[in-house]
Amino acid sequence: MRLRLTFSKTDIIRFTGHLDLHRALERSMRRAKLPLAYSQGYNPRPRLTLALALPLGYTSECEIAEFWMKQDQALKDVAAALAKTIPQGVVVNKLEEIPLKAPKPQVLIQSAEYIITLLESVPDLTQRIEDLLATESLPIQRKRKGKLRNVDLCPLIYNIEILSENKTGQQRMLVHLAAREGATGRADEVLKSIDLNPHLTRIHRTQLHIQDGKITDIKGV
Amino acid sequence: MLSSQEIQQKLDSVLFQVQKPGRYTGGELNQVVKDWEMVETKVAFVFPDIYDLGMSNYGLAILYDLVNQRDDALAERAYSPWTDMEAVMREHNIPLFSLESKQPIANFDILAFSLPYETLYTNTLNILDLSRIPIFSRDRTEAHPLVIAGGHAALNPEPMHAFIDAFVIGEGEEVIQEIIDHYQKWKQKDAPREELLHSLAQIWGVYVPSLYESHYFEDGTLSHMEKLYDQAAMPVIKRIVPKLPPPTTNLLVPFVNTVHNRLPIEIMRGCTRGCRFCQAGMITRPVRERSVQEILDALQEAMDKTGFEEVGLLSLSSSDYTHVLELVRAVSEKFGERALSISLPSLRIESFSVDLMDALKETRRSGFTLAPEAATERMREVINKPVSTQQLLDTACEIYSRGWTNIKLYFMIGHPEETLEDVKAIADLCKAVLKEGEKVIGRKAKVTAGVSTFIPKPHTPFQWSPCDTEEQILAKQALLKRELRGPGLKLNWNESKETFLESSLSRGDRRLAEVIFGAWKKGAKFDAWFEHFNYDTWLEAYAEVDIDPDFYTHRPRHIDEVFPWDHIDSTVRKKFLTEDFLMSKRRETRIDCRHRCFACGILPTFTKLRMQNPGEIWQCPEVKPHKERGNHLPTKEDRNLAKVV
Repeated sequence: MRLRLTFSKTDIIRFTGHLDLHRALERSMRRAKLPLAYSQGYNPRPRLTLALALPLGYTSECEIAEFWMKQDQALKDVAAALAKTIPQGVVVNKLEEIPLKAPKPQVLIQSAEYIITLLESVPDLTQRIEDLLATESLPIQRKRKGKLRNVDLCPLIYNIEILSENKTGQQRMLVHLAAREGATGRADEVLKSIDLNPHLTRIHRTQLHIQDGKITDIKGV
Repeated sequence: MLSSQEIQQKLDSVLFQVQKPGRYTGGELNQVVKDWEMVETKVAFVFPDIYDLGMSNYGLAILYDLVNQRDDALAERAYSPWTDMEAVMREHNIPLFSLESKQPIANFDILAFSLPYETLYTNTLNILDLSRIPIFSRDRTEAHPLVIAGGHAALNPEPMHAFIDAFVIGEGEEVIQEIIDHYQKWKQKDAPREELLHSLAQIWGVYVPSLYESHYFEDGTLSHMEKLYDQAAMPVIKRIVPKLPPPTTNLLVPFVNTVHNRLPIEIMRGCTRGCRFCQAGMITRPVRERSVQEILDALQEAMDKTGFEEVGLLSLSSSDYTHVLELVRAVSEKFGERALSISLPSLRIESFSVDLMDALKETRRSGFTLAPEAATERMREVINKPVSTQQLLDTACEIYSRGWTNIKLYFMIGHPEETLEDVKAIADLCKAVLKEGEKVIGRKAKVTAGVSTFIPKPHTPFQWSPCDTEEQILAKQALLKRELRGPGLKLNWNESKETFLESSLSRGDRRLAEVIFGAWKKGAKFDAWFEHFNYDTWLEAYAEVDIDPDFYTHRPRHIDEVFPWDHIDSTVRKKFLTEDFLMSKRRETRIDCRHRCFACGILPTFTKLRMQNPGEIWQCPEVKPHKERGNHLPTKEDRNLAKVV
């Protein structure tokens, strides 16, 4: 059976990168003694995929992991077993069965929303955002496999909107960025483009969108 | 000093600025956090290199678990912050803290370092500094933690004598508990620090360097060590656990990837092979084995607690473990369903090893590692690793024909008696092995040669030998680079300057403490990292105190020279080592001492322990009580034994 786990990434596990989180989830499933399905070959790994990498240091409430089991089990039993072994900082929001043939979440996801909280006040934030949204093209460089690549950030930014301040009076904004395979906007790049230091912000992913909806709306695609 | 809450608050902001912040958060699965205020004695275990390496240190994992099993003590961890984090910590005035409760290290009662190798010495000083603890032992008061250290490098503690209050010589499982007991008694009495040191010196396996003084001859060699405290031991006998306790199953599971990110289980301690270059093989005797059942039980328990996907069955020589095939089959059978892969380090060069690897069905068939260490039979006799070239080639052929494509061969250059012909033979042997592979699988066959440089170590038969000079090393490496070329061949080697530091420190005396301090003051740290190691800094540090490093590295030692580590008794006697050294010059070898005891010194030192632990647990011959001896005509074997007992 194929299962989808929707979870939050909070607390210290925000400092665990994508691959390391993958390994931590694998191990928690092994500790839970779930009848995991393994890949073939000399180095079998449990069939487990994480939908969209979350950059180091970000928190999230909408992470998706999908995994396969050799035998069917009642969802509540799987959930109970996982609850005991899930790594500290990972909070399970939902566990559901999805059809074996459903498309991969990586293919479905179109965009992601982030709430960014500024630790230090920026008086001209509105102006900076307006200027950014008015820009036609925003070339940035990304390093991948040791090579620098030119990317235009503009088409990857869908929207930026200023939210009300939080309880401690910190400024917040909602950033909606493309998250398709091969076309993903990064919140820290957006911050740098408006001259903000990402270290002085806290970034939290709130929502993954698919075509015409949110990923959490779909069932049995 | 900041409180743990203040440290946590500062971390919440600075962790965003450093690489791999997960190194500094703690919170790993199975970490133990006790109520700080409720526990009498707090021990901080520190590996003086980064988290990624330190988390894979098995010794500390064992001790962490053992101490945390006590109700009246707690153990927490710390590692060297990487340079980016150190800069941030110094800028924000954050002292070194424990990962569990974020307490400043200076607030602990005992600070215990693992010192497996010499290139961690400057990092050790740096940790003391980051912890705001006086660097020199003599400057510490009752207000500071007790600073102790153990690990293989502690078998020659002298270069670090000025910085460490007490060394543990040998195995830590029991002695750590005794140290805590002595500490608690002292603390309750509210007595001066000196009294604690005196008390610790009474424990078997503990060396308190401040209770001794070294005296030298005019030529700079050691004349003798003098005891400054009557009841201090002379020599200090290495500590052992007579029977290995059950393996630790409460193992931490890191989030951040580490060098050995797997479940470690020690199956055997010690080695009976007697390779003359190998310090571990000499200082970890006697050989003690765990039973297959004990290993399987521990594995089951540890798998349930950790979820690791790989187990390392650890020992110095896997194929020498008596029941290795039975063990490997049982593990594959029992855990195959859970896709557990098994790593089995240090296999002997024989077809049995290939059978063993074959039994590990899930193993990835890319590389198979063998360590002939030297390429000519003459050299292998000198180092007492007598494997014939034919045996090696046969084994290689077997490996290639069972599906492996790459054979990794480990060699060392710089062995005593080595000539350039012996070095060239490394290249020839690699080519011969490759040829075997090409016969079986054609151009797919590959050979990778890993060639490191031999560094003579204390407590080994080669402790008298000079280390190669930089010119010699470079010439030998140039020869290899020239000869070991072509499709299918790959050569890895160590930079010659890397060898210098380890070789000058490993056989050092007390005078080197000043050199280490000087080098650290000038910025030396992470010396085990080639990109950080600064050769010139060390040369300056030596020059400043007018010490010639060549005295320690390249000087041939006289056969009856008193060594700075002679008062540390590894229980393999100097007489045995001398004999073995002289044998090496005559190319005489000794067989595996499981088959014949050569009276290295273990049994006479530990007669009683052996009697109390009869049978297969030790691989040394049995020792019978006196009254049972001589009741029958002695056989040849008994006579050999008699010499020992």
